Amino acid sequence: MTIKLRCYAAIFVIALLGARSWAEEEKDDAQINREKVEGLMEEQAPEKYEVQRLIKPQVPENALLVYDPWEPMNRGIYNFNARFDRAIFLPTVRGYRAITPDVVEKGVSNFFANLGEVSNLVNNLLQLQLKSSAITLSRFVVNSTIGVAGLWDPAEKFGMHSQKEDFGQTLGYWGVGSGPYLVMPFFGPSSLRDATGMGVDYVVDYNIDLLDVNDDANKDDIRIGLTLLKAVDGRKNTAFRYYETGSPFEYELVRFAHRQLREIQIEK
Amino acid sequence: MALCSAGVLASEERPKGEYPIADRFAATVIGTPKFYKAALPAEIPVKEYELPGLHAVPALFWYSENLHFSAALQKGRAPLVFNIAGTGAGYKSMKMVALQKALYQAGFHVINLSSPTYLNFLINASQSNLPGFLPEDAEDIYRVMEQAYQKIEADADVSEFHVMGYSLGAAHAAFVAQLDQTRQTFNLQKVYMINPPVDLYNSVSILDQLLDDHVQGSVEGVGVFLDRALNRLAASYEPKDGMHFDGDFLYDAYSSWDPSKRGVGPDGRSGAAALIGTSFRMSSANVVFASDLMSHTGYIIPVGKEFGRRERLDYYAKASHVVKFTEYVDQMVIPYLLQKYPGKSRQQLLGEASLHHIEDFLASNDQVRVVTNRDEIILAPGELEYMEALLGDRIKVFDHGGHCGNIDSKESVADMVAFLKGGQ
Repeated sequence: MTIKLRCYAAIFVIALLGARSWAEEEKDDAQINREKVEGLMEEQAPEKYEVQRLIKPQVPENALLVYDPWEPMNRGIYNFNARFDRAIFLPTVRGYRAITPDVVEKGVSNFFANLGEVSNLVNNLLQLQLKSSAITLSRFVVNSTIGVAGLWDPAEKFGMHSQKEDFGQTLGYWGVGSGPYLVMPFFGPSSLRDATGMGVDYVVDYNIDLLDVNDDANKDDIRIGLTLLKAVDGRKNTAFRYYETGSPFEYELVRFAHRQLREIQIEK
Repeated sequence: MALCSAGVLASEERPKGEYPIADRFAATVIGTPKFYKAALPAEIPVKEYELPGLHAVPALFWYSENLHFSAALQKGRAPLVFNIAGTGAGYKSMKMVALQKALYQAGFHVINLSSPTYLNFLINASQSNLPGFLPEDAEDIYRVMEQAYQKIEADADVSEFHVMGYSLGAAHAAFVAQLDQTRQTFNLQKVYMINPPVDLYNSVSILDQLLDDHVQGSVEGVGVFLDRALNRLAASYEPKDGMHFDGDFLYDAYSSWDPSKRGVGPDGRSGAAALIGTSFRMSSANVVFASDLMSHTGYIIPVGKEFGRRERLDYYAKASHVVKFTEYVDQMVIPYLLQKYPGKSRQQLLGEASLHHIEDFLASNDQVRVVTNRDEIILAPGELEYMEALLGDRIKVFDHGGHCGNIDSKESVADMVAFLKGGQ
């Protein structure tokens, strides 16, 4: 097993063993025929009002739980994403990689990362992270000028590392719980809070309109092209592949790993 | 670490030129830090293939139809290496990809095969769907090797065939090579075994035990332990460039800790050992659930139960994780074998899932080589000495690396390539 998987494995087991179950009525669905197992199940039956406690941010004794009331829908979308990934997304990424020189791919990634600094800056400021905000602003200035519109990332070489923050993290920083787990079509694992955050980040980006392509019908083709390129670039930079963990419990694994990762991101 | 060999001290550039992690458990978890890794190409031309499965695939496993494997083929004539993954690992796992690159770079055609304990293999290519009994696993792997070779035959000019594997895959390689002596499809030349178990049941007992010994409260304490471990990792170490949970991140974090705080805690528990036990339990839970569903043993899943694609699995997941690998062997595999081979005892069957069973083959074949570590964790007392006595100068024992921690170190890759190339 790879290290990465091992970490996910580790996280995953928390999900399984630390987690308590949710819907009381579904308890009868599982007909597990071993005493040992039944005993375990009994112990892990949900407590009253647990859901209410869990959507609050600070629940140390149950920090391992992922609240997933929309599980059937989420699983459906997860499977849709897996199929879309295999049939369309990954072949597109392969095609893109085949026709594009590595240096151009890197430039594209840098370009979009540089545009993303705007939302990083906004969110660092909203979290009162002044040092990170300063770094982010400097990165944006340096990379937009010396880095030629963000195609290169000289700021990194000067020791200014990217300080990624999004509005979901900002909400988390101010104590908003993650809310129900949500698998978004195309985007993958998220939560109600983070999906909302994405929407807010999008609106902010849209209104700042760095590239001056919005609200102008003549530039629609450019805008759509950029959006698609950004999607392909984003997928290229994501190592995750659906259903290759070799675990029948991948949905649970990903759900937990995602939640844990977000919590660490919010703490940092 | 003070006892570096003279050869290492001689090369001033790399004062700690050999594999640096002296703690066997930490080594197993962290792997090889960048500086000590063999230089491998970033990318090699690898193609993926599919073979038809043996069984109907249940709806729940819709994503795992057909057996998958990969091949990296040279343009010209070259030897072909079949490379078999370790417990729970697929043909694309990090270790497998590293080995494939190393072999391809050295001029071999390489076919990477998943372990029979990997979900995709278990569902599609395991005749019994109950992997873990080495003689039957070898039959399954051998059949897959034949079909895989047919698939790529037109594109590869093969001079001769070798087989290798790591961990459980190393034991598989040996059994496959022995089987080839009677089948003779490939006339396999060399057998390279990285960190093999000797007696499979001993090794899985040791790994099962890690969870009990190093996690407070055993299986039910795993949640608390892991939460603490992750928090400690996140709290004590501030990476320069974002959070990347890879081997180098772990090594940096590990190195940043005061040596007295590494390894075994005051209560005698090792976090790394706990993680290994946990990860092994996960592999075994995957096997338990998938085997049970495919072979209808009714061990956890009631016979006749059908799962939809969107079915909640958390109860089954929990149940599967309670089962130890030894329990899987005793309560699922052995009953199946006792029925299939009447007259054989449990003891006999367990004995057949061990290198002891093919020791004549191993001892007499000078094209078999084993590489392992002095601080290997999956060997019972006496098993390393047994292999040393059996193989003589055909076993290489590194001082450190735990279980496969040093698999892609410079020294290990050099040993592998030198052996497989030797006598060409």
